[in-house]
Amino acid sequence: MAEEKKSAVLETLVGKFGDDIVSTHSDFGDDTALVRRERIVEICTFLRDDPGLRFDFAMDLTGVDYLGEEPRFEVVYHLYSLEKKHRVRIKTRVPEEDPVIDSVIPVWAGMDWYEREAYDMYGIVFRNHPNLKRILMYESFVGHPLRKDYPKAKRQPTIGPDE
Amino acid sequence: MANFVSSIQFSDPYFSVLLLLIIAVGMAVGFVFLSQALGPKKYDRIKYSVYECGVDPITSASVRVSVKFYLVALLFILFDLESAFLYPWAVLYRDLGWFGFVEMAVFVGILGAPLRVEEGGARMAVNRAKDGAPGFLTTRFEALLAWGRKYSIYPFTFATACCGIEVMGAFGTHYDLSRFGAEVVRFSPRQADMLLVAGTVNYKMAPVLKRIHDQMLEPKWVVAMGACAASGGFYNNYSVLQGIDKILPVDVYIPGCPPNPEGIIDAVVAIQKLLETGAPRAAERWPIKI
Repeated sequence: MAEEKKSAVLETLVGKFGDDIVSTHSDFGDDTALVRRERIVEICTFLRDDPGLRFDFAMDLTGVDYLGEEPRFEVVYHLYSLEKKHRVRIKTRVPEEDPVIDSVIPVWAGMDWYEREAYDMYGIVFRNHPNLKRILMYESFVGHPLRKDYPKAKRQPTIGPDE
Repeated sequence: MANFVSSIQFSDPYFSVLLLLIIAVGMAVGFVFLSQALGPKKYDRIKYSVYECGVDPITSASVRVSVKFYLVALLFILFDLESAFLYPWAVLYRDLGWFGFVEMAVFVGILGAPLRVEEGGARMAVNRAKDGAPGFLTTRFEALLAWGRKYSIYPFTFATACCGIEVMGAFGTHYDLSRFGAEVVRFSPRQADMLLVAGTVNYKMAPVLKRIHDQMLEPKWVVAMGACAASGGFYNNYSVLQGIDKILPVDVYIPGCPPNPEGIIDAVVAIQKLLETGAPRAAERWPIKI
């Protein structure tokens, strides 16, 4: 494919962080950037504070399990700017043997429960999260049910009223 | 008294009205005490627990509320009470004169004085717990009781999914479940004897459902409505209980996804048939103890 013209958002991002942005694309008009996980907090802070970007609304955070690929997991951030009315999707890969990524709660406090959900369902650990515990499943549940290698037919013991 | 009886004119046309009144009041009052005396009672720790939503309170309700709250509430009652007496007094103020004024001043003074709040006055007599009713009742009498229960089933709806909409339809005017005696829906388990589980129950909800069942009146019936409550339905996954009969004794299953309101009527009629034939409830042959 010929050199695609980057959108203004992605251009600003690549201009600022350079090699920390692994790849970008704008398929179907959705700006997407795959970034290195080590700098996720800095990138997110920049996206929020840069006067030309102003991504002040963190719409969604979710995990993806690409079983068989390396690195295995992916964390996806969907961002929106209420001021500039534009969106961007930030993706970052997390390996299975060390599924740790920095929490973005210091940037957007609303990401709290999304990170807990990703932890609960995929076992992705968010470093510096103030309250990283299960949000949907009960505390005594073993494993992370949305991982592709979680046995479909596995049943866990029924819990008592106090768990 | 004898004088009063001899004074009754039996030919008086109002005598039949008096008779009717005595019978009507006698029945109304009598049944209140009869149900208290005849109903089986089985008290345990869960029955005596205060909360009826199936879970324990996260914090103590008696800790966080500020004293000011109670003071304000007390003052409100105080002023309401005073004003109720002040109005008639104000209307008759001129006629009552100085006597009325002093009397009312004393009254306001008494009410305005600080109230003593008694501690621990209303404590539940937990140690009053006793076992189920002794089996001295004759078979005929049991049949009479069953006949009474047949038309006074009190449902408790545990609606967690789309089946709940069909339940509403069944209680509404079109299908009108009240024709079959299961008219009064109770949203407190202590006043209900038919648990209608309508919808998906997941593992996190299972202990809540179990506790609500334990708090219900004896004898009680459980209806598993719809594919999810009966078997987990198509939610064959990590989070959904594969049928409520894993934790509860189920008397009647209603198939469907969701079943239509006729299905609920059918279930109520099935329970009435169980009562008619004296068949044991599912709880009586329930082997699993959790």
